Amino acid sequence: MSTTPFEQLANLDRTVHDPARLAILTALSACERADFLFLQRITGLTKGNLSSHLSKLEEAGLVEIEKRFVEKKTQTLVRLSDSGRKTIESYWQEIEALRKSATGWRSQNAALALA
Amino acid sequence: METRDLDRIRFVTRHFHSLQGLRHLVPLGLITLSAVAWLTRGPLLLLGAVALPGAVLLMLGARRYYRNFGLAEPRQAAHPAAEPVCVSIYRSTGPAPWLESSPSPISTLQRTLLLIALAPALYLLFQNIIAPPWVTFPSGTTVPRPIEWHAFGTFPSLLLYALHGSLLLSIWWLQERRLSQSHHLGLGVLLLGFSALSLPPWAAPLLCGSAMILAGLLDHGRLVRALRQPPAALEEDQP
Repeated sequence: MSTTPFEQLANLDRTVHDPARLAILTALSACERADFLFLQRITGLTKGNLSSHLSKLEEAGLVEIEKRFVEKKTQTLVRLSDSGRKTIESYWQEIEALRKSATGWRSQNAALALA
Repeated sequence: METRDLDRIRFVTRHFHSLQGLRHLVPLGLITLSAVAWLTRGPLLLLGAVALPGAVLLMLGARRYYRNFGLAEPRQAAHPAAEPVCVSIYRSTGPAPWLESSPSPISTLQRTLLLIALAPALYLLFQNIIAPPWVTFPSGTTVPRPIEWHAFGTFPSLLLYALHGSLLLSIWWLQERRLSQSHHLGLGVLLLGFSALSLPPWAAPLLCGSAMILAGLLDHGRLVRALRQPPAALEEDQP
């Protein structure tokens, strides 16, 4: 069954496709784990916004959050869960398929317009 | 958010430790630079004035980066993840044939051997450009150049150029050979080139130290720029 690029786009995982959450997951996929401050600096999100996005990702089972005390301060460490790694991997594969499909669709339509 | 923002996020996170110039390259450069004072029989105060900030940065650099930018632990090889590094939307040249989690076409051993071979190869190249191993007389006769034994006295300088040059080249290689990080390539090649010139012994620590400091400051600048201002689009977005 062939699907149009628009259908593929609509089927993308919304939890991952959101720009802020994609930024967080991209950062986490490039490291073993990161703390809240680093994620805040690298994504440019406010504390509240980042906290809210992390809660959503944790609810979806994509990240694991660990809190510990360092020098009498709470440190929040975030890492991608196994499911999160698989989800982000499959997301990039879908994006790649979407790009190919969109290129094919565009050239197909151009040929139809010329005919 | 644009794809280049994601690329910046991925690159800076992945190379967070090696981009900490004030923690690694600048202290190394300052300590190397302090050897100039020692070689020129300069005052001990000058030696201390250069080496001390290097030692302080070496001890406190990690803490400073942790406090300002937080923590991102490097990824372990046992847990590979598909990064968007090779996805075609990040590359103007189109799709790449492999994903990050797939085996790389160049193994770590091959990369290491290439790096080890690169330094002497470049040294020999520069050496032969400046002083070819043959002498041609006006009559047209060519004879091998006699061995200049006194040149072996400059071995420590050559070693310094080779070590620092190779280090900068390997950093450039490990940081994905990016155009934005090409200062490592430029400085590394320059240092290996200097090894072929007949410079005084004190020039080696001066040039190597300065190159390290410059590379470290540029890396630090890159990190500060990347972790400074939030992209406006992300701020507007609500979960």
